[in-house]
Amino acid sequence: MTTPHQWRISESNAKLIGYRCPKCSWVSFPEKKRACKRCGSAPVEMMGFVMKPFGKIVSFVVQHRLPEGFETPLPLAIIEFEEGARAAGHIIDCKLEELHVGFEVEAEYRIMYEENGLTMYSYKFKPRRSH
Amino acid sequence: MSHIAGIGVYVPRYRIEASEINSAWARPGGRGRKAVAEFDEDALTMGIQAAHHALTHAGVAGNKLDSISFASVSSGYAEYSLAAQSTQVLGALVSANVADFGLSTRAVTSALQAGLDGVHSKRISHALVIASDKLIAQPGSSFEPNYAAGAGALILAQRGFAKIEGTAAATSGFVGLSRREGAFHGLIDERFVMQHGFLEAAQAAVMRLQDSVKISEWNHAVLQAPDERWASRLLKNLKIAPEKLRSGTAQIGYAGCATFVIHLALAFESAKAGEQILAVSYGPGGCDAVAIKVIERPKFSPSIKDILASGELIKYPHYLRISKLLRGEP
Amino acid sequence: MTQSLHKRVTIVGGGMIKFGELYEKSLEDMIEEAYLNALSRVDKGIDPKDIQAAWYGTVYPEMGNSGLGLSHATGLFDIPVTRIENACATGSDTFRNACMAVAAGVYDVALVVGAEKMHDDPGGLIQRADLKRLWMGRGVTMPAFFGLHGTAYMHKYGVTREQVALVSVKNHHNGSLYPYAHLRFECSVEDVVKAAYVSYPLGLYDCCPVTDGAAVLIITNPKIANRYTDTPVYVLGSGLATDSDLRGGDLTSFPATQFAAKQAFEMAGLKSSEIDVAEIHDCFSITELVSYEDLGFAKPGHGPELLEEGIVSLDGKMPVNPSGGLLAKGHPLGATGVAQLVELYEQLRGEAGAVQVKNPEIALQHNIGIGRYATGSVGCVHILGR
Repeated sequence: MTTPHQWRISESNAKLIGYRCPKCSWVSFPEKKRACKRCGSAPVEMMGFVMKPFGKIVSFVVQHRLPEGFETPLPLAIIEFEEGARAAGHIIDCKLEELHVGFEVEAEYRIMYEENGLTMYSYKFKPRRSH
Repeated sequence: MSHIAGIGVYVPRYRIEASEINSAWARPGGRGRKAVAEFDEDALTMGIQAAHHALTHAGVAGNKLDSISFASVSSGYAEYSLAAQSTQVLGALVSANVADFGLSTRAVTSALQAGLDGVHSKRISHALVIASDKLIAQPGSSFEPNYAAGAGALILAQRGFAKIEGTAAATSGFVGLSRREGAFHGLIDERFVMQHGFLEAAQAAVMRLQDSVKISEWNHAVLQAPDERWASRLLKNLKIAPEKLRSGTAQIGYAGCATFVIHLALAFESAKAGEQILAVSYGPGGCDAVAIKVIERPKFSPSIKDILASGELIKYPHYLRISKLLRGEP
Repeated sequence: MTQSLHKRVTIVGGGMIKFGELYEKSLEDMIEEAYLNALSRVDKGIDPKDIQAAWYGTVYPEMGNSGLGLSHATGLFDIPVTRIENACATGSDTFRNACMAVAAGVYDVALVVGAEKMHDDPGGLIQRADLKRLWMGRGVTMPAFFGLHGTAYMHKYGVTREQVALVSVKNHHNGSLYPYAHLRFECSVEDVVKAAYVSYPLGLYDCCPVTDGAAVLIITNPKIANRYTDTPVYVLGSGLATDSDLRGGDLTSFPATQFAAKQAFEMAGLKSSEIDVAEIHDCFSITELVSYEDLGFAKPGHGPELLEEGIVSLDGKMPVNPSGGLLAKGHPLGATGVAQLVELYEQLRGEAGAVQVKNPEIALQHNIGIGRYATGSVGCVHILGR
């Protein structure tokens, strides 16, 4: 059964919706904010838009120690979307030696975790192949 | 009649050879290989990939979809809507017609029929039909070297590169393959199911189709059924030359509902304008047959053949781990 | 006009326990022991009844872990006890809050307790990697958070794992001499770079151990410090800030530390070149290296030079982590910041024994916290002087 938390994040997770601050143009993802996390302006009216599923790796690690629910070794990165939003994302379909700072990636819909009898889905990131 | 305006295929990254599976069980031989889904893939995620490819192929935006049908026998849920989830992820219309088809691999042709009916009646402008399965066979069972994962999707519209000439069904009520939710297929006499569950229904459906569309010369044949040997028997009985069969089973195995669309894409890739495709879909209880005329051969990039031929080979323990078969009972 | 903490608070006593895998001791046992050590080490003695208020820093949030825990451990009931939590910077922030109450003149004598029981949870910290915070660091464990900065830092400046390893080598050497340290062995650069990866680019020896511990400080209004000691230690500056990597930046620094340091140096009226000894947050080797630059001890990308030139060695110009740091001494979250301050209190008074540095006058303490929001940090800096 869906929990309130699952419901609150479901639309942004499903569609990669970003919210742009009209004051500093920073993009919030996945939260729609009324107080900007970058410039601190408040209140601001952030407009939502569907982001392109492309971005690059700002930095990464390869996780070898994680609790149940994860498969290791797991490459994990700070991703910067083309529109500027940032997120901590999991890297898939990638050889570990391919990884580097600035690596271009593409979002792909995958299972994130199981919770309360539901599979939670959102996006992971694979090497960019389409344009 | 309705047309196919786009077709998309998704095959997961990994492959395992039948001989690798057999050797784990100390059995000789084994032909071909099958596609294996990652631990974080399921019918929904693979179906979404195929849907994106189909939308791109058709040049249609997600928000033009007013019908989404999802066919799968491996959603893992008794109650949950893969079609509704897909609607949100693809950004389809909130007002879209949404339907889930399951409980039989024939669900793919049930979903196709529903989409065709909507488009034919002009109630629907763009129907998306997703077929996706991640079939998990009991380790060591005869199904294991063949049960695979994959997805396919079709966009149906008023215009397209292929025309649906007609459909026909034959339902016998013979159950054949069945299983409870979450269970594996048990032991079954596959030749018994082939003869009485499959061949009788398939032949009856094709006969009925041939009568209604007045076609007796098929250029390509496509079959969705769990055993490749059933195809050669059917073609032989229908007097269709075996080389007309379009199948990727040797490269990626059998992926339930998805197999119908993947094989159809292979047929399109090798068809010429004006050629006729016979597509047959089996599920416990009966068969559907579909006649499709190619108006113009669609382009695929990458090619469907390449998609099926690609993939990274893995060993049996890796396969068991990502298929969640390695962990013992708690 | 805002009032500064500068020279408005004195430390008159400090004590801790030997850190380690203390399976035989409960959280309350550890606090009691550290408390008794602190009382016994006040030069002119102290009556527990002198303590007017207490601050209690601990992280593991067994539902409603209140100030009452401190009372049960110390027998200090009937006075205000405030519990503080700010992830791994908990101990420092606990001290900071107590200092503000004393500086405000509300209390003359206050107790600061930092403690953490890390070994009662078989899953450990790794099991706490938050599963649900999808884009806010799902799967980002502590080694991963700092590893992300390691990858970015090494990429930008061409720094090698061998250079980063020098932090572990130095701190393990110091820890081998420090009686309260959890790990008391030396290691080589080769040991560090050849160890199994925990989170690439960090291997086992780049990571601090899982440690139980407790530390206690007694602080007073400077006007009454001479009741307890003739050689108190003054708080000269204090700073605290937060940041997030999701706001921007290239992950080669911890901006929160930079802001906290700016606040603390301004309050103290000092420059980084005037620091004689420092306890710097080294939960991972890379953390200490990057922090040299955030704290102004080296220009961006030049941190490794401090190690290569021996400046931060025990016998160097500005020794860093004479106690062995978190890497060797251990990192019992809530205790860490307080223990760093206890160590610097002893250094400034010349009581640090085998790891005593030569005649320090100004000391800097630095503590970073991450916690559940594993996308940025909390940085806390204190400057102390004789």
